[in-house]
Formats: sequence, structure tokens, C-alpha cells
Amino acid sequence: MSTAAAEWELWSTRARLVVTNPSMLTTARELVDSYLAKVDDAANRFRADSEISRLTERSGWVTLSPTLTHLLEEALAVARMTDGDVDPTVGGAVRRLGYDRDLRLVTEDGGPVRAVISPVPGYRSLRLDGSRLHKVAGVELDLGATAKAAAADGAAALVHGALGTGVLVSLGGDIATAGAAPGSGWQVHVQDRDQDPWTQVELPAGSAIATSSTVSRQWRRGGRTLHHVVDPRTGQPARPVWRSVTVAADTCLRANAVTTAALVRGEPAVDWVRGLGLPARFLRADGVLVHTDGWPTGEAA
Amino acid sequence: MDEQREQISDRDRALRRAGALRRTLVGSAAAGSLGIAAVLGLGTLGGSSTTAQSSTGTTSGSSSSTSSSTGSSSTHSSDDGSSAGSFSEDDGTSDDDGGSSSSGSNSTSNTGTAPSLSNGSGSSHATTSGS
Repeated sequence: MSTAAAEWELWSTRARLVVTNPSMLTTARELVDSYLAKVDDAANRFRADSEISRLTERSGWVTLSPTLTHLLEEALAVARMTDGDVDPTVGGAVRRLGYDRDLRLVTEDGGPVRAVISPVPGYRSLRLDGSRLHKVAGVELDLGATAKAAAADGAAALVHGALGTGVLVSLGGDIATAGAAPGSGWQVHVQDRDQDPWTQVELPAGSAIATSSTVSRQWRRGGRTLHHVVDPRTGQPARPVWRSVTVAADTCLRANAVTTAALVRGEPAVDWVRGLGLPARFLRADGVLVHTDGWPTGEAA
Repeated sequence: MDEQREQISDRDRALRRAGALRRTLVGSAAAGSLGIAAVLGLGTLGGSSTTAQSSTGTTSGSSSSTSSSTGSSSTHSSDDGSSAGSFSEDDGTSDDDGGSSSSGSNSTSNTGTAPSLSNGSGSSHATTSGS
């Protein structure tokens, strides 16, 4: 079975679309673009006119669009699943750390930031009743830890549902698939940075894989290197115990929830992920690789 | 010949459905009231997964294709493609045309079914890296 692919810039990273029916590629790309535009309108915190940005100063009950409702439902479900290690109320903390615009625009070293150890407001401060959200003014939402993965799942489901073709959607390395796989299976290269060890896995049809990293999406403030995965309990970047964590699951949202929480949890994350029964690959800061059961051996050097 | 005609017909139907869906997403007055989740029929984290549904597939039409990548068969319908959503053949809109976007968030420790990975080979379709 032949495939066709398209790749483009999106959200400071790369998007990639692969279909098993090459004649559907153009239409599939249009569908994905349309869908991601809706996600962007709802949840891009770097756009002042996005729905999530306009929410910041609102208080009390606010009615959300269906798109933002869905994305927030998913973010809250992830927060509960990870016991708050992945929390949608980290927006203020991330902004105070200097990640307040598209990463390409965050300057190399924009001066020091105050290292205030303070927990974020927490997902329990939010109440979502259908499409109505109750929040306090000043609580800044950031769905960056979940929206991209949820969007990958949604885009893959959309393309397969509408066109019937097998499809892989990668949004910055958050990979979802739907429908039939190519004859050779979905071949996924697993590698964070160029200097890191790599491997290649065959991903079954309909499953997903995600990687989170403490060395990608970095910036500097006052000589201090910061990264974008914030520990909600401190409001500071998670300790870089792991360079990267990769997990396969049945949805990209689930895979990404586990990889992000694993970075926050540090060393104990290995036992947690083993308990979940998910195939995972941890690359420690010192270069040592740790695998859970189900992750294929045969790593390339 | 009949088979070829059937394939063209399937493709035309799929493209018409995609066009209608795209117009729904970006162009129509109803777009603002149509949630992505409603359009897609997405489950939430602890609920049923659209992607997972797609992996097992349902066949509701007479023309279907089957492929196998890991020894198990994954089948999808090529004449209605409806396994992942609730699309109408007529107008491409969702059966659920608004309201709340999904079945609600779930308190869950459910992490779904673990996929069975194997060592890859050949050229890759995509790369997973941190972002």
C-alpha cells in the first residue's frame, strides 16, 4: 500500500499528514487545516483574540465554544488522570517564566525572571458544567500540554471518518493514527534531539505515540535555561531528570498525558508507567535509556 | 470494470462528504455552533476513543478494504467511512448539531489498551520528538 504525505510549519513545530490513499491527500490536508484553525481560534494563548486569551480576565460563569469546551474537558480529564501533574491552570506560571509568545519570538536571553516557587491555581479551581466554565479572574489557562495531542487524535479521526483512508497525523511529534496502516505498518522514528540515541518502532493501526522533552522548547532568562514543562506544584520548570520520555497508547492524548506527567514526576515515573502497562522509553539526563515492558528492544546506538 | 466503477464511485462519495464537512467546519453560519467533538463524535479520555474505534473498525458497506500491519486485520468501510463519527451522507453535518461537545469529562485512571509495538524497519512515516 503506497502512502502520500504533506508537511508544513505549525505552532513553532512541524505538522505531518500521511494517508494510505494518495488520491485523498489534498482533501485530507484541507480537512486538517480547517480543523486545526478551529483549535487555534479556541486555544492559542499567544493570540490576543483567541477565546482562551479573552477568558483570562473573566470571572464567574462563562459560556465556552464547543471547541474550547471539548479541549478543556480533555485537559481536566488529563489533570485527574495524572493527579494534577498536568494542569491546565499553568498559564500564568509559564508566562512569568518568559514563555509568553510563540517560541520563535522568545528571545535568546530576555533578562532574569523571578524564581517564585508557588503552586499554580490548580484544576480543581475550575468548574466545567457542560459548556459553562466557572473561573476566577486572573487564572490563566494553558492547554499546551494537551491540546496538540487532542488535535492530532481529532484530525486523524476526522480524515478517516470523512475519507475512509488510513491516516497518520503528527503535530510536533504527537502522533495519532486512524484506519488501516500501510502494509509495513506505521513506521515511527523515535528521537528527540539530533545527538540523542534513536530507534524505530512499528506502530499498530489506530494507536498513537508521543514524546515529551525537557530539552526541546527551551529558552534563557538571566543566564538560566528554562523549558516549557512546568511542575504545577512549584510553578517552575520540572527538574530535568529525563531528557525525554516516549509513550505509546491507544490515543495521542493519553500518550502525551503520560509523557508530560512523567517529566514532572521524575524518577518515580518509571514505576508509575509500568503500572499503567504502557510501552515507554525514558532517556535520562545522563544518557541512560530505561524501557518498560512492551517497548521493543534493539535500540540503535 | 464494475470494480473500477465502484472504486470511482466510492471516491466521489468520500470527496463529496469531505467537501460538505469542510464547509461545515469553516464556512457555514452553523460552524460556530458545531463543536469539534460533536462533529467528530469524539469520546473523552476515560470514554470510548474514536481512534481506538477506528483501529478495530466497523464494516457497514459492501465495499471495504482490509490491510494488516501487525498480523491483525483492520477493516474500514470505504463507502460510508462512518466508524469515527456521526456524519450524514446527505449534508456532511453531524447528527449532534451542537450543545455540549462530548459526553463530559471523566474521573479516570483508565489508560486504555496498550498497543503492541515492534521493532521498525524501512523508511519512517513520521518522527516523534519532544515538543
